[in-house]
Amino acid sequence: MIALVWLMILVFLYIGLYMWNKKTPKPKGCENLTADCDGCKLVDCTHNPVHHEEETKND
Amino acid sequence: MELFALFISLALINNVVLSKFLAVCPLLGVSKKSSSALGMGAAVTFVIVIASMITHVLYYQVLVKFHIEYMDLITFILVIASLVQFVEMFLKKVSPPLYKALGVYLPLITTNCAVLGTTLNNITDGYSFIEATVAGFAVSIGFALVIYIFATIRERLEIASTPEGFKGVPIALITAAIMACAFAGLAGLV
Repeated sequence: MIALVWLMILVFLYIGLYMWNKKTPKPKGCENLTADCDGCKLVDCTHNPVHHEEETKND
Repeated sequence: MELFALFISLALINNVVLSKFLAVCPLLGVSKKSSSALGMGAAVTFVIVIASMITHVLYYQVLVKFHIEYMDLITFILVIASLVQFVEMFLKKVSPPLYKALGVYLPLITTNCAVLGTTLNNITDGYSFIEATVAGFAVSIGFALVIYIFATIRERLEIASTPEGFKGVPIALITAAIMACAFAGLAGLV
């Protein structure tokens, strides 16, 4: 029971901080910053350039 | 003196990338330019040191006290992910220049296994709070050192006449292997 409560606290903490971070506006000049990660072979990582190529195709 | 030995041991001899093979993903992904490697190294240092301190306190003050030590893995994953979100938001609000320099690398750190590996090692090795903090700093300095050296070598390899089949990742991996051999030569330093 304690473990479940602890897990819920952590999950809600993460969701709260994620939403807070999303709502915080980026400073001027930092709106279009992108990580120049060339990518390894882990295509499930969202930073892998494969995903950006797909986004460009969809646009 | 013990803390100094711990620092040298974790930064150079038992290097997180070349000895434990953690954080190989950012080593290959963010090492094409030395400036990017330096930014990534600084962001990792920032997060690992804070994560080492927070997870150490949480483990002994919450998990041990309530006898839920088996929750360490899931706790540390969520704490690191939350910490990255908090640091990103904090930098956006308080220090825009620092956000401009490091902010772009912070989301990459959520998936950096060196952070999780360091926090788990701090617990399994039974470090005190001070030792865990020094260990976190040493591991991240070791990571920053290796990724920067690796990036400078890759920049030179870009203009070198490499055989066609070795261009890109293959020659990078061979370089990493030679670097691992070089760092292994430091064994016995402390």
